[in-house]
Amino acid sequence: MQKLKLLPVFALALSTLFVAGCGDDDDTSGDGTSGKGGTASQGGSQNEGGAKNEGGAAASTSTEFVPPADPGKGGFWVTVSGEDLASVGYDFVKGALADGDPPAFVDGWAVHFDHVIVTVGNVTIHEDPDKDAGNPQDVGALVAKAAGPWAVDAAIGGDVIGKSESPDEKTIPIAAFASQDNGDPFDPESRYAFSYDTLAASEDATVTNLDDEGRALYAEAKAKGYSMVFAGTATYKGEAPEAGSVFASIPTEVKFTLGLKNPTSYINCSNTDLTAVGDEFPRGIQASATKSTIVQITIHTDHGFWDTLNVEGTPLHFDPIAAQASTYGMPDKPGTVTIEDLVDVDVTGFKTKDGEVLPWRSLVSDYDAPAGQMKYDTNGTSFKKANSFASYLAYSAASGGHLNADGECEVKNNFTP
Amino acid sequence: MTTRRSWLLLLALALAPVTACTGGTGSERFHFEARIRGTASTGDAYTFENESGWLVRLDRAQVTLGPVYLNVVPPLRDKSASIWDLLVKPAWADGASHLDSGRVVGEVLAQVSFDALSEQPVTFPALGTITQEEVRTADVWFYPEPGTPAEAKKLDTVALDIAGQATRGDAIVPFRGLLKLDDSWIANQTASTRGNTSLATIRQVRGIPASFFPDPGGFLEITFDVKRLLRGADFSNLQANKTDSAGVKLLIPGKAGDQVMTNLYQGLHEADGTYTVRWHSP
Repeated sequence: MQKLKLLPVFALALSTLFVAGCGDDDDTSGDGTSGKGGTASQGGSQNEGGAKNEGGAAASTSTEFVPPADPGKGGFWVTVSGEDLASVGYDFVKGALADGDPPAFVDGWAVHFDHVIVTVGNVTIHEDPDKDAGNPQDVGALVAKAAGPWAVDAAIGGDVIGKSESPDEKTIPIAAFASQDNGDPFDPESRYAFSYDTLAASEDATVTNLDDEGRALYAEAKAKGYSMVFAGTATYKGEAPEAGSVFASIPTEVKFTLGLKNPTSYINCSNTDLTAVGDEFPRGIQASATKSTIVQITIHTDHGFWDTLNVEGTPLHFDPIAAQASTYGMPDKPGTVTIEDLVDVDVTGFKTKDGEVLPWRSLVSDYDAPAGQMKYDTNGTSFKKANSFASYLAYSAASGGHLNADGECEVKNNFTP
Repeated sequence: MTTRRSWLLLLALALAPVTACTGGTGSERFHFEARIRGTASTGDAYTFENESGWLVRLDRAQVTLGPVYLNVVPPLRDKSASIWDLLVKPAWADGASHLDSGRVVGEVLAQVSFDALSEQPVTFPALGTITQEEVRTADVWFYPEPGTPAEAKKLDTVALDIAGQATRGDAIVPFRGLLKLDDSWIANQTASTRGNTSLATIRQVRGIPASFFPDPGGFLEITFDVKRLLRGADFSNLQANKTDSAGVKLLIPGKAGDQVMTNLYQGLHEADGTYTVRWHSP
């Protein structure tokens, strides 16, 4: 009898449970910033609950940026990293492609970045990263947010050692969450969905660690709407090319400046710091009761150089960029390439700056270069300008946003390539 | 008896919202007809100017494709099961990392050949089946004809049979070609290494935008825009190609093929442009 008396209550509760889980959530905008509940907290503001959530601040671009301090136990310390590949670059070592992690450029180029400038913002923490198994963009209530944005040079980094624990990976903190925006502590027993955006460069961005050259590049990025800028030098270190070949006309040193219009949302990322379930890592971040938890926004610099879109880890090439160098035909004279030089380059049939067919080549032992003209596979992606290499680079590089080194996020491109 | 009725009533009350979760029709599973057609043509010849400045006249564009899958949004790659998973076992389309994949809710397990230069719809030879749920993407697969061994690498199925003529200034380039999605398109990369693409992958077009809620009695219509396949084709790249006795340039298939064939291959795989997927309610 006692059980029967409880039945209506049980049924009503069960019913309510399902109703609560039904229907479309109006707050699921897909931009990773949606959610009901907690109020948004801008970086550096004092929230109602008394716990201080900070974003690093600089009054103007001429003021030195002060990274937010470690929020202490139970908090999240958000950093940005381009890993050691952004700070040290890609050396070329003759040998097997499979020996490297990541593999070297297969066409003999060593690539060093002077700047990997990214504008990051809309860092959000929501409840329930597993709310909808069919839709990772559908998460629970928003509990903390730092809008930023911040202009970060991942090639320079900061004072916090990154997830690789290599001293070469120096990350820079941009935000710290001591608590939820309503003052409640984060539950160390729960995972929270973590999302962020890369945004077009803007006056609103707090300039963090950019040097004078980086600030000049950022001014150009603001003018042209770039959300990423990769700038550096590529040096050919392979065997001397056959005389008379198109490769013999490519300068052996090429300075590149690739501004990319590719603002993107990285939503509800999986977390490689957590224990994998099978071969998959859980989504979300988890606080620690004894210390702060570093949440590392990680930008992989190799994605832009893949030869196939929408496939992870295809071989890296630099020849198609180098073949457009300003000094093509004068191999001993360093050349330059900007993204504007690549707009009209056709990825379905690469040619040199002089209009010669550019063949594939391999300088590693376990990658066989295809015969014939070099071409990239857009693999289902179309561009506003048909076959544009500049569009290809922007789209491919946009897939490089991760969490804690290798955690994968739902990637939502907020641009038409 | 009274107590038993109460149980049933309460159980029904408890479960009623479960059916309401799926759009009010209870995840009904039903069959539907699927059709495919080309886009509008101009008279006998299908003529258009592409972005490389070539005036292209198509005389033939026969496409063979299928099966077709209908998906909801990509899945969470977390193996934890929800209450819903306990009630309804989902089928997952395979996918690589964060770049694609989805949950399959509908399928048309048939292959169809149609004239892409004609607006006349062709019906798939088998009915599709679908669980009534919001569809957000579609996949078109170019699988071999029924009965072909799954491990077969050399396939004779022609995904696209195309012929026409391109004109730019004084240059006139008649051309024809057969596109087969076989292992000649697989990159020269060590098997099983990171980034290696499989034969199955090159036979699939994933993530075609679709947004509809299917209802019984309706039908699926796919529109195929053949112009997208030649959008960036530059026929000046065919100078070195062989010609037949009639002076028609023969397109070279495979990864070592010419720029025009590469554009055909990539256009056939273009998820956002070549295919339009709609549901027509009764």
